[in-house]
Amino acid sequence: MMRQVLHIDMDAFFASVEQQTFPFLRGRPIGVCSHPQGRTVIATASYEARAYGVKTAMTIPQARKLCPEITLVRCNLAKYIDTSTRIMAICSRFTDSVEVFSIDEAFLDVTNTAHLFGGADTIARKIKQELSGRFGLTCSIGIAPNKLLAKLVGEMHKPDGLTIIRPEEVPVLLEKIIVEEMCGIGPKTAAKLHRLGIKSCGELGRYPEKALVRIFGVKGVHLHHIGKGIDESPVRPYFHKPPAKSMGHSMTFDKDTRNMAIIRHHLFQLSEQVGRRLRKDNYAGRTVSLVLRYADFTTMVRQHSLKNWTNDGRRIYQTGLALFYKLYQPPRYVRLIGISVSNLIQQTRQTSMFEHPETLRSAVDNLNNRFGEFRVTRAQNMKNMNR
Amino acid sequence: MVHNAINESIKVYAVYNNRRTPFPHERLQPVVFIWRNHRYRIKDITYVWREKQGDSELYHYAVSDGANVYELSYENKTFNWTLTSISCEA
Repeated sequence: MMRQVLHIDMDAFFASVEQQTFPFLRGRPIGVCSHPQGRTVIATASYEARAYGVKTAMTIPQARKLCPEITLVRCNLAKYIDTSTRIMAICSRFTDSVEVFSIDEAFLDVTNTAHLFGGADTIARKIKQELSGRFGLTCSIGIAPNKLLAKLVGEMHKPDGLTIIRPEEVPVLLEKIIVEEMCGIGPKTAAKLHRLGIKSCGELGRYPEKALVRIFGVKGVHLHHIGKGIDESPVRPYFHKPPAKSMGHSMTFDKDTRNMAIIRHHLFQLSEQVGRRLRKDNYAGRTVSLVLRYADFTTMVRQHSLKNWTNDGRRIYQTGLALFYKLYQPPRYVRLIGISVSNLIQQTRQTSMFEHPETLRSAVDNLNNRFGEFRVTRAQNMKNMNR
Repeated sequence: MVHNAINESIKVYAVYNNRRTPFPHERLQPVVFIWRNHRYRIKDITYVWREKQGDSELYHYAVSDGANVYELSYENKTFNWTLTSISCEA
């Protein structure tokens, strides 16, 4: 039986949610960012703002220059996460194979259920109708025999599109698609392919597989499949979450700083957040990475592997701080700092390798679960929070 | 957009509808609220969302009286309603 995969992508998700919340913003150029008065970047721009050239990851001054009348709205993650959860629940009514690809994207494998609802296209229309009725939101949907093509065609007609590609139409489509448009081909790979004279996916598919493997290694096989429009990867239901590879947090300072107390305070908070997330999902990691971005946007990363696995925020902080002192070039101003832990293992129970007793951390986590984040924290953090 | 944080306790008249949904915040519908002795009739619930706070949940309702958008929050453990903010066009 031929597979039928839907790719659902919410249109300008964060911005559309805010336009629904605040009706006077509908039809207007808006940008959602974490601190409208601060120096963060645009997380999502509404289609009205995109018409002016405003894009995701643009700084606020860049966005204002392109679109002086843009309204900046503070992002509300809880609102988007809850909306996303309810959207995924709607999708789950049509199949149990729903893969949450990101907060605003999902794949649905409806191969075995499409006939129950009148076909894959009917499912797509029903989902669109329900999202519009319940949330006032639109989405773009692609239907294809695999995830790769479903995502490709879903993004061809945005916003509010519904695009279906049948197997016999795939070769013609691939001739028209440039390699950069395919999910899995980044700018560096695309540039390398261009140097080989490969511009379209059709050309990539005709390029000898052995030659691609010689140039790109094992990735060459994947590239060959992309060129042929082949993708056998299954739709992984959200309850089959793949193991995490790393966990991290970063933040941009309200203004560039070289104040060590401020930097240490934020690094500590980020480290505690990482430790808490690791413990929540029962992970411990060995490699701590520190990211430092200076005011001129030069970004530096350094990592250190510990002898033992850890999920202790304090240990992560101490390692991160040591990396910071190695990496930091005084008197440069710092714009962003981030810390992550990789080389993860999933634990069945915590071992006695940690500095503090397991029961203490567990009790603190339980208290914070019950009363909210940072209700119980280390005294060091309290002192900084009260500043 | 002008956004004012309020965070004051308010009295709310709300109804539970019988809609079949696994999300309780979709069933609760505020109709009228009283803030500083003034009665506000809700014309439209523009958005609803839920947020975990410790082991309780906050149900948020962005509601409009036709002029402003008010964010009302309901805490499901204490049954308290709060007027969180008021937003209007600049």
